[in-house]
Amino acid sequence: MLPALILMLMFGQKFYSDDPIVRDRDNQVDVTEIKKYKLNDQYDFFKLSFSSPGDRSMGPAANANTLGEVPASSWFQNRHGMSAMSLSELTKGPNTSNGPSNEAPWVIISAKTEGVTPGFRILDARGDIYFVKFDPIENPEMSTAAEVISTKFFYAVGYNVPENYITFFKRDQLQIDDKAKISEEELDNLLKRVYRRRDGVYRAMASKLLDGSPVGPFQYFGTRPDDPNDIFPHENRRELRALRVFAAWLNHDDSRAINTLDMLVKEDGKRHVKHYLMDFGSTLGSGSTNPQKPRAGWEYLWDPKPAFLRMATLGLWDRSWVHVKYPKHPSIGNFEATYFDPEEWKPEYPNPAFLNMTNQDAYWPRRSS
Amino acid sequence: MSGLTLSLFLLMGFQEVPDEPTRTEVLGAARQEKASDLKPPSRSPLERALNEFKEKRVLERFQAGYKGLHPLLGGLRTGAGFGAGTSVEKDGFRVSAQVSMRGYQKYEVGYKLPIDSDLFFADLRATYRNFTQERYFGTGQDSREQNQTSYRMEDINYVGRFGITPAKHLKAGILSGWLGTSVGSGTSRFVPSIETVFSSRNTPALANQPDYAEVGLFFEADYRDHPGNPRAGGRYTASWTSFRDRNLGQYDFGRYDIEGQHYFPFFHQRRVIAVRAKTTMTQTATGQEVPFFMQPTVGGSEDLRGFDEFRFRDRNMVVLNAEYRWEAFSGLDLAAFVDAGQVAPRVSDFHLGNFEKSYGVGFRFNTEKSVFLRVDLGFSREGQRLLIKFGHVF
Repeated sequence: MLPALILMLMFGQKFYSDDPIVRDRDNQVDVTEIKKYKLNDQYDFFKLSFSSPGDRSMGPAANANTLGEVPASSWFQNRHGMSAMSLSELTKGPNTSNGPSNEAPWVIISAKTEGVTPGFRILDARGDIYFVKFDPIENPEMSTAAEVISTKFFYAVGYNVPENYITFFKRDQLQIDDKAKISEEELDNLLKRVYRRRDGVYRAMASKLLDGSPVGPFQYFGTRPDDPNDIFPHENRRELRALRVFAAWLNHDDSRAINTLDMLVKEDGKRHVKHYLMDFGSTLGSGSTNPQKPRAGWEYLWDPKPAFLRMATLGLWDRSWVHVKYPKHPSIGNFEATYFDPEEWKPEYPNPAFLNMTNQDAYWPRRSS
Repeated sequence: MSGLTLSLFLLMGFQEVPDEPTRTEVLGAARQEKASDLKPPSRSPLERALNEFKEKRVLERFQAGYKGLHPLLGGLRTGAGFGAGTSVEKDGFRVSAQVSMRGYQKYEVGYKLPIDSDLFFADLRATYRNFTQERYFGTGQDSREQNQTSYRMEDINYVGRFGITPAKHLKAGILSGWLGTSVGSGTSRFVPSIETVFSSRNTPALANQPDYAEVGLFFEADYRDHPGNPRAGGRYTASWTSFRDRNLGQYDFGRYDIEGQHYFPFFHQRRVIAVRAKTTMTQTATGQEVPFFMQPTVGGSEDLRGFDEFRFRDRNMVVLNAEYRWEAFSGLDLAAFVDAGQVAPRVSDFHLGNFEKSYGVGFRFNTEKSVFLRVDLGFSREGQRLLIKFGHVF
């Protein structure tokens, strides 16, 4: 209690009779007019690399309670930090089953055959829908393992994440729905681009479709103007600011808006938006489609100071990351701890919530655990 | 609440006032207030345009082409000006047509024979080219920049190849074909046509052009990590081609092409030293000549960057390049380069002191696997050249 009072003295937060609140009831106003928002990732990159949207006053977190804790909400549930989860709970994470059912063939209902990350959506015997992703041919187990492991970490911390499973199947497990825009030949070509074991078994990561209706990603600044429950600027939410600590720890350099998702869900007759972190393929030593780039975590894609210094010095000057020696483990990727410096860590491009992280925000996870 | 806590509250002037709302009520009121003034998320015109571009898959559809017709931009010929065209592929056939701002034309039909083996390959190709203003400065290293002329080169080539790929990076084979050549007046408005400055006496095959039967051997070892933007490995090629003059009997010759590229990366491939050596040597029997338009050349954006395109030509040439490339940031590499090259009538005439030299700096806008825009500034004793190309130098 005493530290909380000191914090109150520091921030001058007004005290109410129900403080400190442990739950922020941000599901009480029925969401009726929300529209699906499509974020353009290139636009997001340029906007955040070359401008500073949101509140950058670096004030105290807006949604922390009078103890400095983060109340449970549609964004965050206190889990391991509140009371230690058991080993089985930690390894189970958000999962509610063992993944896609193998009792009947999986029916492919849509596919992504182009681009660098092939995959498809399946309908299993239980009627559940999963998005199936693969490892790069030269890095078996790397990105699927990284995604599932990181999912469990982020879940244990308290974030909303999808159910992600490691799954195995053979080609004859797959059937194509008439409406899926993929032919048998295209499917074969897709599977040629992914890792397959010698016994013909494919290892994949199956991400279960989230409950509710997707309404687009959330951004790391501002509030969603069509969500009445979203009143705290995202860059000032403590759990999003402090996400930087966990993102650094797990090298989640892809922690940007495009890898989040807002779902419109209905509970007790009311609709509200639930906010998810998604897509952890670029964590730990994995860069999703290749081992993590040595630059990742050290420097933004566009980072003017080091860029100009390199130009001006003919490349003689550089950051320490260029000297890091990574062990050669194809299934792990580029992962090391000797050079890792959490305070220096950066995602792929500026994240307003991370930039707003104060010492109190950074300390909050440590205090909770 | 403990006594200590209560005391501190009193010290700080806090009092729990029963009539005041709770925090939950305050937050709820703020949400109700927002609910009365909801707006859809706003998007800037740029973001809307980018989303349209992405959702309508403009780039993918452009690359996929229309009814099987794929667009071709650039890549027709160095010095041809901006070129465009189309290609179509079906059942092993590939047909393409390209034209450029300077009137260059190239049409090609290729067919890859269906061989049910990864070990062998075979293909047939017919190519028609009409290059309207090729550059010619005279033969030999002492040719003068002021003597620049242009000529039209037209040829048609039928060639078949059969080869073997014994390993992923290795390729070797034989080829055989027929080549018909023709030369005419250049169409450049800025330099005179070749016949106004040079004569057939000092310009082999200016007056009459031969038709050739050709046979050859080729070998390639390609260990580059990404051919479009190599940072490690190397590429080594060698070929020999015999051209037999079938109608004039004056222009038989054999040609040897040897090239080695190697890439020395360091600092996680964020720095690369790239080196290349290449030579083309020709060999003739006594009394035979190599047509001027088939002589190897040196100069321009692909080798000696401080000089004009095709600035030097003779029966033999050698080029050495070295580049130090360093990454400024993801998407842009810078390069400092030196080039050296010379041409000579005989191999024995090559001399270390005869190399023409150029040097410069370059900007390479790239992805991990390819360079999509190269801007090089080359300097030489003949001045500086700004080169803008859609692709890597080597």
